[in-house]
Amino acid sequence: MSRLVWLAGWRHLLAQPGLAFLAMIGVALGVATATAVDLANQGALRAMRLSVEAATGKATHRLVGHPLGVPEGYYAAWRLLPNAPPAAPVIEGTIRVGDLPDPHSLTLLGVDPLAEGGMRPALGLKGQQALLAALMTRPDSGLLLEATADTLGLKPGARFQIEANGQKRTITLLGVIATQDPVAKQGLNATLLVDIGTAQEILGLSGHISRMDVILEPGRNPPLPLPAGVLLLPANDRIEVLEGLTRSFRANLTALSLLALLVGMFIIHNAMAFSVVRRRPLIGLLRAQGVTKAEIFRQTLLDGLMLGIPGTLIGVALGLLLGEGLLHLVARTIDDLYFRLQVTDLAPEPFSLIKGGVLGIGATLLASWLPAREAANAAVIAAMSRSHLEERHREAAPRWARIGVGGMLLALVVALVPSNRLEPGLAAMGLLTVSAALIAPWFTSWLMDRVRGPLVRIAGLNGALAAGGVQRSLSRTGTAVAALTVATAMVSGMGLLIHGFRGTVVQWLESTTVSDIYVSAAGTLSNADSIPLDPELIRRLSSLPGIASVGLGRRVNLETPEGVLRLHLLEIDYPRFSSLLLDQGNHAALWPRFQDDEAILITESLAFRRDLRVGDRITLPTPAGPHDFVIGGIHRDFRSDAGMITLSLNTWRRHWHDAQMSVLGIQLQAGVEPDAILNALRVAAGPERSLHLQSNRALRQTSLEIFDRTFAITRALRLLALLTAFFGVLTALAAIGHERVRELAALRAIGLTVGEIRRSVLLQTGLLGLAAGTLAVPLGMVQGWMLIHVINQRAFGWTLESHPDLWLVAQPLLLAIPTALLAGIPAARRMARTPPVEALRES
Amino acid sequence: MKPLFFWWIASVALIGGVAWRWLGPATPLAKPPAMEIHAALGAPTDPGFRQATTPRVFEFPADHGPHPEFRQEWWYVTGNLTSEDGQDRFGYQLTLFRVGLDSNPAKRESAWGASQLYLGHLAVSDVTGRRFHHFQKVSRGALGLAGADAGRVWLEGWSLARVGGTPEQPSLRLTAAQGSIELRLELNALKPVVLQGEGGLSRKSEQSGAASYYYSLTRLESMGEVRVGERVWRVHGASWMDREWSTSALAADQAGWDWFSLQLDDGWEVMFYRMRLKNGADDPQSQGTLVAPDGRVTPLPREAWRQESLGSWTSPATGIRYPSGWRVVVPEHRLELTLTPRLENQELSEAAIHYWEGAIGIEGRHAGVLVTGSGYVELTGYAASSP
Repeated sequence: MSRLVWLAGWRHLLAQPGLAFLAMIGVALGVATATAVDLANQGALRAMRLSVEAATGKATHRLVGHPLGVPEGYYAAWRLLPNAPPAAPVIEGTIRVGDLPDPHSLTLLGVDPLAEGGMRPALGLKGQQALLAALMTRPDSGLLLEATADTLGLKPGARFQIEANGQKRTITLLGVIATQDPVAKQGLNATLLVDIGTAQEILGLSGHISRMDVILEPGRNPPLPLPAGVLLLPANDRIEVLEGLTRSFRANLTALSLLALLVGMFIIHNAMAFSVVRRRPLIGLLRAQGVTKAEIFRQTLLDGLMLGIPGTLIGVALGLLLGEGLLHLVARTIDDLYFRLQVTDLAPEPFSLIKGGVLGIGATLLASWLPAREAANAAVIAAMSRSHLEERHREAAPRWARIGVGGMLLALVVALVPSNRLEPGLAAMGLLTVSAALIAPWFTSWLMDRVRGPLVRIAGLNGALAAGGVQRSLSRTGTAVAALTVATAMVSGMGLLIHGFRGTVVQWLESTTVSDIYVSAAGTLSNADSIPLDPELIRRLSSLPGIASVGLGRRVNLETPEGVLRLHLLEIDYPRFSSLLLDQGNHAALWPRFQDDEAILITESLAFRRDLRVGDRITLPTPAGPHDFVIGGIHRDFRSDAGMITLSLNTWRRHWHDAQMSVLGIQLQAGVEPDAILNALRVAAGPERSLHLQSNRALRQTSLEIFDRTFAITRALRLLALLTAFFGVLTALAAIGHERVRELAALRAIGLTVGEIRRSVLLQTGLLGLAAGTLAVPLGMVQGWMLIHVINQRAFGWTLESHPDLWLVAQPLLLAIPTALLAGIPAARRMARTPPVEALRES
Repeated sequence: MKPLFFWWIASVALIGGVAWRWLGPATPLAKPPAMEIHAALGAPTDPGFRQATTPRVFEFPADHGPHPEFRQEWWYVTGNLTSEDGQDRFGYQLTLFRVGLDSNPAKRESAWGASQLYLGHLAVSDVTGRRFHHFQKVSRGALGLAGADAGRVWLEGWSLARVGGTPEQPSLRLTAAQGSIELRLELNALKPVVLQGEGGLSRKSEQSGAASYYYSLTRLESMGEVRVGERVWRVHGASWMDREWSTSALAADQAGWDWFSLQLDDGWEVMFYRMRLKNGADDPQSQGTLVAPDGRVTPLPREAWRQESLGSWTSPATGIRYPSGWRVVVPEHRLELTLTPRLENQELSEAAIHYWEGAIGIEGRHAGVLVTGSGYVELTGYAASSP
């Protein structure tokens, strides 16, 4: 008997291939989005791990120091000890490849190939012995990964220009490293590998190395006491810190991708519900022949899987293709915001694919559950008419809506409960969205009651037909509206977040970039510290005519036992100081304390991450040992969501005995042309120096470009959700079309023209779009509010201002109606084309 | 039937395609080539290095120090030691190689800039414990990490320093520790330096310049401490030091060499080396030296001695098959000796190049009288001949 049931279901699916196809696409798109995001997240994580692994190798600890690094003499003394624990020196920095058409940034990695001794097998030095002598003895020479050399268009033996430490140099490419080792491929990607001496010369780091990687047996201390300012840190905490930093970013992406899957679920639900309705007579027949309820239930779920499994498989495959594109977007953002990361390729994690598969099949079963229950509960005599069913749906709609309203309220309460955790925020977002979907059928019906009157006045019978049609097929239209609502509200909510965020960043940039021109050296030192400018050069540049005032800054990444802390050193005047956006604290009161080493400032992200307040103390490692600094103020800064500490140069000099500065902010006298000064600065710097001169406007523009890049991935995800919803409407309309064949035939028979039928169908789909858009406007606004004030706040600790924008608020309407109309065109044409006689006879 | 069937087929094909693209056969990992010291460390073709072509006048102590105008150089100390109670025997080796990376190095700003590389091998043969311990170290001749002068040569914590004696008959202090082993030895030369070959010019093949400057301290009275694991022994015995510098590598037709240093208990020493050709024959330039108790030196041309190997040993670590045990006859000097490795496994299997360097025991007759002794044997270039 079950074979018969199975065959019956199967034949039924095949009877509507178009619908089956649409449902499959819906699942596929949802699964593809979720899988692609997961693959991209995993890929970025893997790339981060591999990069750290390549750089760390077998080291258990690293010794780091500030301001310059670890004295090289300490390293030599360590090596000379009898039975010294393995140790290898490292110098790391960033350089720019200058004379190529597209300037690239490369990591400069200096190691002692002789000291590696298997410390970092991934460096691939084992295969490079033939080049060892040249690497060690030829100044300004190095190796590149084969792929990197290809990207730069360089062959072994080539000479190329770089800019580093504010100087131009010509590097000879001694050879390329050809490797299949994934760790090496990731770790050496976009890296110029040089001898440690060469690195020291390129970065001007005389007497110091960036860090010393060592292998210490458990419980063993360094054999030599650490020099002042040098810290011993576990080697593997870097990856943990990085994973922690990027966790929120990745969680947000996952949440977005799950929304697309939710939209996909509506589609499969719609397709299954339709198939159950169509089969009611058949189900009745089967039940009359003794097929049990459980068998019918199982069979309907199985039918769902018949669509869901191929849809999921296509989705996973599509996700693999999409994943690569998304990976580059994710990696780019991580590279911009957190960690130098260049991803080589997507190595798909089988687990991601399995997850995608489980999600797709789970979603299918969930979406088929209600239709399956309905099928199982169908009366034995197939007497229940379609209209009766719709009536039941209309009756149920207010109940669903009440549950939806309850869910929304609960979501708001969850969102408003103060917490630092991201998960309740994401849960509230999900609950809000699902609740809105539950409200959709009732809302659609309610809206049709409201618009019927005006419609009849405008479009006559056609209007009444369209509004009535939407209400009559509420089981169909309700889900389509829900899908479209979720997708367009998401577009609007994300848009509001990005708009508000961007507006806040623009405001911040405008108020804090007060200088007209910024001067810095190209590249960075080890640990991404900025390169100090020669004090003599600073003096020379500052004394050029036309300059009103000068502020100095420097970025230092301080290694602390809690991870790397970004420090921002400032030597500025009061007007510049007062341009900092203080959330807590008062400029005038803080100014003398900031100058005199009494108080430091922290950014709100740091305050949020570490739960710090004004008056709290923060401990930083200084050459004289750990020192407590008092937090005098909390200011807003969007450069790093890891947080930043701002201190006066005076404070830095007192504790770290170092007064170098690396950024010169120049304010021009009134009426002086920036271009004239830019030229004068270039001349004053001399030809051999490579300085970065950026105007105020260019700096803001670069910052906003980075900002926009960060959100590029969300644009892709929004588009995918919208595309999925488009297929949702297509499915619903195809179903309605099949159901209304007879009704429309009757209308034709009583004299309606083809054009009138077509218009009526289009009007109906337009009404679907209107319903979805209208519901999505407030939903999008609430989502936008939640994203700005709950999700973003908890993920990154940033206070953003809402920048309401009519265009963004109205966006759901502007998207939903055209989407619905577009999806309606084929249905309208088909319905209008059906010859009435045939349709009437057939049924 | 058709559309759905099409979708099943299409999805299977799509997934198959993607899976093949991502999960398909990866290129196998290329094995890095084994390090060839002579080919790799420094360019053998660097014409700026001097060649050893003519005999030279040796000057001590200056010649104990480095000769950077030549590409490579070594300080090679081997010895046989016995514990104070006579119960335990040890062999040891400390070799420090200097390799010139560039004959005309560029001037460097960085203190790391180096034109010399130092490579060291340290080994202890724990004869009683039947264990062979060996380590390799490499460092650059910069930043005080490694270097040499007339009084000292060091590679990080391993060093050999001249602490007394006369320039030709010095006293040395040897210090080296790594992992489980440690050596602290005083070495007093009982005989002055022996210039090998033609007044110190030791030819290695027919080619001009394929030679080295070579002198030896053939008997160094040795005493001090050996640590293996947690245990420390007071030891005494005899050591041998070879000093050699050159720019040449093996000739194209040469496979490797067998080198023997024998210290007989009657006060005589014998050194000879056999340059093996790839065709299995001996290079005629193989030669040796006989040193009398009073320091008198007699050269041994190749035809002056006969040697035959008595067995072989295959390394479980590298699979290389080495000869093991020899019978050596020097008819003119009425020497008939049997050489037996104190341990079979004295292969430096974890060094950059694999070779066998081990302590041997000697039994035989010298001028008709029973004689015993100790020595060291070095076997190189057997890797190629192994299957």
